[in-house]
Amino acid sequence: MKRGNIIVLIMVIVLLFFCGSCSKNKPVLYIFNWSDYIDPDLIKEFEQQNKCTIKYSTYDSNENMLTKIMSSREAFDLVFPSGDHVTIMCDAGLLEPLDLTKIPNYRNLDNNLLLKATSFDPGNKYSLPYFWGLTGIIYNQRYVPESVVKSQSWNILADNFFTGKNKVTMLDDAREVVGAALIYNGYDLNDTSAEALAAAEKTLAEWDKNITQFDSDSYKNEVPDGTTWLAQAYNGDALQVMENNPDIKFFLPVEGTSLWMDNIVMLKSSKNKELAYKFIDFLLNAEIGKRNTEYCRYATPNKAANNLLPDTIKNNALIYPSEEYLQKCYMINALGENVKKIDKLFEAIKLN
Amino acid sequence: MKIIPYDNPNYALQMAAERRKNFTSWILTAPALLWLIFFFLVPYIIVIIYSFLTADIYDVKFEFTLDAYRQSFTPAYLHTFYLSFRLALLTTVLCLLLGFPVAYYIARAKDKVKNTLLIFIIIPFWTNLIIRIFSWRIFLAYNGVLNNLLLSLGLISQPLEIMRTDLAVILVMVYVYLPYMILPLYSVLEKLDWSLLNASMDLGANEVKSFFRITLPLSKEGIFAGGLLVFIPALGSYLIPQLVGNQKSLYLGQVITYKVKNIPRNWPMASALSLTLLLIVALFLLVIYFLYRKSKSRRQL
Repeated sequence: MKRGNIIVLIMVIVLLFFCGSCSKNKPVLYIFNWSDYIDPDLIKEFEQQNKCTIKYSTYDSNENMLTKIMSSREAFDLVFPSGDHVTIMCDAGLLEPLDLTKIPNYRNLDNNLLLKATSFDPGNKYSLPYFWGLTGIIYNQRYVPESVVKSQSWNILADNFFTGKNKVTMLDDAREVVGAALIYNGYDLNDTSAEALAAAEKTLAEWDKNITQFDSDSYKNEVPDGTTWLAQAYNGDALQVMENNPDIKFFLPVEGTSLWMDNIVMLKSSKNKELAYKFIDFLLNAEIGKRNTEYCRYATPNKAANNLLPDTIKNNALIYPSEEYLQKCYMINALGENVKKIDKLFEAIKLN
Repeated sequence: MKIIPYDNPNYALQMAAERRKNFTSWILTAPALLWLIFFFLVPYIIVIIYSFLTADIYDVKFEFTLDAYRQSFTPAYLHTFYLSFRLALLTTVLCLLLGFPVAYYIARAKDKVKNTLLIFIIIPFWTNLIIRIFSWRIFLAYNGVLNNLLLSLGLISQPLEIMRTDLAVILVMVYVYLPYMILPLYSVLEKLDWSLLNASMDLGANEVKSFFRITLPLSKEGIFAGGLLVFIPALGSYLIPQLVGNQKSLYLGQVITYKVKNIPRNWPMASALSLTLLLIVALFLLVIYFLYRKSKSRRQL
């Protein structure tokens, strides 16, 4: 009897071993992206089309992403960093130059945006634009009176209405927070001169009286449920939340804001480059791009997809602001050593 | 030449058996020892080395400096240490006050009830910590379960501000760490000789006096073990303060995380803060250990 049990056990182990090895025949694509930043149906569709498995992981900040990539044993194939982090990753030798002959849908991309992207990736050698967006302010009109937000200025963050209420959050991102203060004071958010930073510090000290937390994710749940009344937010996130709750409003501050572009990059360490190219091309397909934009609510750099979008999205000034407003928006660039000055200021506010 | 005692002809056999026993125990402890060396000692040595290096934007420069330690003792960081110790101490005390009656009740319950209650204590461990914290967020939210319940009962006229406060952090910390206090207390109380309590009652002591003179001193080991299991992880807690706390109370776990992940990275500073915390905890434990030893030797006298 004992011997019989052992034989059964060995058979089960062998069977499990073979099952495990069978599933390995399916190619696997490892993707690392921002949370809520792709239509989940598209992943399933790609898996079915290409008879593969996508292992999809998410992050909530460029810093977290970079830490994971630099310290992890996991080999991701595709990542979606913001512009300044494309520069950082490129300098660190992490990126694979893209072979555009393997991406026929590359022609769908807007040339103006490709030109803008050369500020962080000269010659568009390592990255392709995925979505671009702006940072603004989301609020719940059930709790915040119209008179408070009437000015649509960054300085609403200092309004006495919020004092002692624990109801305001900002993004957990030094560049976004200090950048907002710099823009409010009339400076470029990449300006690290002593004069600019002194003005930003003064402003941040005012705002800090009302700031409850620096968090890049929670506002999506907390603004609708009333835990947070007003928050610095990404426009696409805000529009996703607004869709399900009529009390939620969003505006782009009058002084201007940060303009960021998230990009598709392939890591040098990618083990499945051919499949990765197929996925990039799949995302750049006009119809797929349209569906993804409708889901994510961010501005697409895909001109062909843009033409297919309904007017409600195409004419939405919170997604596609006027040229006049875009003049007041600044792309976040990599600052090299000067980033320490921004960090020092942000940390002083955090530890205050 | 080794002399074998004449009155013990089995001496050589005994020595061989002893050697075999030692060898076996070495073989058995080797995996754990290797594990600790490679995944505890080596990382700590790396952390120690890093704490003396110079921070760079994305990594470190291999230039020796004490800057990280100098910075660790500036008022801003000392305040963070203070807040973290206060939180850990408060969590430990509250867990003890809430956990002791529960452990006492379970220890004195009938076997069937005892097992059921222990399962209830262990059940939270079956759920991921983040999910449990998010459940609390939903429960404590401005429009959450608690506020809606209190409003519907007419006990409050407007929602309470609990989320994103120190109170929320304490509530969730106590909820998360309470089982770590109850289980060691229970294991000590269960072994308690309850006839001692009856004897003290017979000798004229009331229940309160019996508790303080007999139950409490005999459960010292459980309090010590539970206290450690709560205090040490609570000291470096990151997730709970980050998800339910606010910016005005920034704890050490949050500061260390920020130093590790943010750009410019400051791994030397993160290492220095971690090591400073480790040293403080080690000193704290040594003091408690010596006090415990002292009280034990005094009892034996």
